[in-house]
Amino acid sequence: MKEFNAKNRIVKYLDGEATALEKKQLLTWIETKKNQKIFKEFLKSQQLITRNYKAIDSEAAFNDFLDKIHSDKKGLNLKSIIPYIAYAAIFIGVFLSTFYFINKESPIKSSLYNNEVSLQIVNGSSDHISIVEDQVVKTKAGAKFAIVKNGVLKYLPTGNSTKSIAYQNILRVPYGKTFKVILSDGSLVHLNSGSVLTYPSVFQKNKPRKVFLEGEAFFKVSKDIHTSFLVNSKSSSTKVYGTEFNVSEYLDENSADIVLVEGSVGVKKNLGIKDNEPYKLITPSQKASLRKNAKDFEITDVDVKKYIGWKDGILIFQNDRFADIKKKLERHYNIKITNNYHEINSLRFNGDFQNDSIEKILNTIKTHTDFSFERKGDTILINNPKNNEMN
Amino acid sequence: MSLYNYDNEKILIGRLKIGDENAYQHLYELYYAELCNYLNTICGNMDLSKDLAQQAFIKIWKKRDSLLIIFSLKKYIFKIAYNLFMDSQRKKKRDHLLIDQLKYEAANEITDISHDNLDILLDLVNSEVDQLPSQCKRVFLLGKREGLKYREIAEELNISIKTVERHMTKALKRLRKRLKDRSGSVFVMITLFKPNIFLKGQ
Repeated sequence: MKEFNAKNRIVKYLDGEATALEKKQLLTWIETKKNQKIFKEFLKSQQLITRNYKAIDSEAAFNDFLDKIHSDKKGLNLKSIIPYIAYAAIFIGVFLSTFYFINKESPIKSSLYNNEVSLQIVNGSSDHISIVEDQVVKTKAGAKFAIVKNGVLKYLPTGNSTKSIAYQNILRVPYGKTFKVILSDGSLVHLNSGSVLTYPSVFQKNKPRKVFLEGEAFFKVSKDIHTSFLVNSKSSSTKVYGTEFNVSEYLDENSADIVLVEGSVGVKKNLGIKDNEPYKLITPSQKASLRKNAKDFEITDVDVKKYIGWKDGILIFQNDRFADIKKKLERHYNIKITNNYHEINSLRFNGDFQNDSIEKILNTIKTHTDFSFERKGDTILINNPKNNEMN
Repeated sequence: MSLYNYDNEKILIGRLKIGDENAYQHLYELYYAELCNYLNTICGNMDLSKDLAQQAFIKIWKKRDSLLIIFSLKKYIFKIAYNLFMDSQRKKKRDHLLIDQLKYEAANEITDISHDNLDILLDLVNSEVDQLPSQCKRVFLLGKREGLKYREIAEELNISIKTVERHMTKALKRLRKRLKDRSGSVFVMITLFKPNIFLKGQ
């Protein structure tokens, strides 16, 4: 429990792999002078290792410097700093987003084929409605229960429709698009590309408000002291205590991630009806991560802005592998990227992009790591530049 | 290539003041990489470090007319960068003051090591890594040289994350011990002669 673990904690902490709890333990351990000395020795070792293996390109930095001092206006603003935290504070409610990368086998994919936002009302008739313009959404019997206005789907408030039968609604957003829906309790859900949200047209009174999410979405949940709000995904369940947070689940990465922006939420594995596991609370700027086959969530500190940028059309890559960036781009631009240059898959990149074309993004990445790419319709091919020269 | 002897700090400062780009290039060659490493020890994020280092150089460029360097150019730049880092942290909740302080101390101690001594220490790192048991070495290099996360290393080598942790801890413990034993004198010397005026708080 003591010395042995402490060193493991230090190493994990310095490698950015420590959980919030482990970090806390380390902070306590470090209080004595003797331990501080040990910690510093590890710090220095780590630093020497970094120096040994990570070459820093001064020349590139200097060229960058020249660019910046010569393009005075734009250049001095090194990186646009987006006031995410202030932004988050504006919302009284819940921010939630779930990632779910739809894989080939997914039945959802087939319904995303038409590239339009579609709504399915499960009431025996299985209506599919393409949402392309402002309209009124009615049940088959003709009862009006939602409207589409200015591209937002809004359900009528629960209040005047207590007798309504709650039909399950399935809202699908294709690749390359995002979409906003306001549920019957007034909660706003902003869905990201390639996402599916299932929810009732009307929430039942005094029962937990349950929705099911595959993909990624921003939630601004209305407060209701009588009922809680539950967001379930395939493997996780998140209970909202009137706060802002972010849930992410990529099927092909085998993990569900919940990132809390403000307030507090509880998370647990989604084990179906019979589970009575308690929810695990997380605090702001923490990420609860559930890997496939893992027993429980692992909690770490994170930078939340990375997880909510998409809402404002900003793509943020932070030390992300090219392989993961590729997937994000495919969803965002509704495009297929075939990478024949596997060597770059594990390289990591950083960058913020807003309203840039996919070509611009790839060209930016290209300035750091050379590869060649060409676009053929909805497909982009990436190749080793050397192979190209030989052809 | 240039007419000036930039190795002379006084001349270099003079050229920086009048905005000679070659002088800035020299400045980059001298300090950029080291400054990045210095900041990285403090903030643990190399990309942020590079950003901050770049900002520090740009700040010097912008303030070049009024450069007032009394102590040393290096300490001046490092101080600017450190202040930029502190500014960037100001808005954040700072609950790890002690850890931050220790990182800061460690960064300063390393920065004060002479280049010759640093080379000795880096050689030590290499020889110690060479002597690690093969699997441990593999894990270590994937993490440190290739920059993989523990999870990615685990997948790569088809071992558990716990095992990755164990190898990493083992490697780091050995390195720390080796560096401590062999370089004790280096570190002690620094501690004794560390000029406290340098970068102490604001």
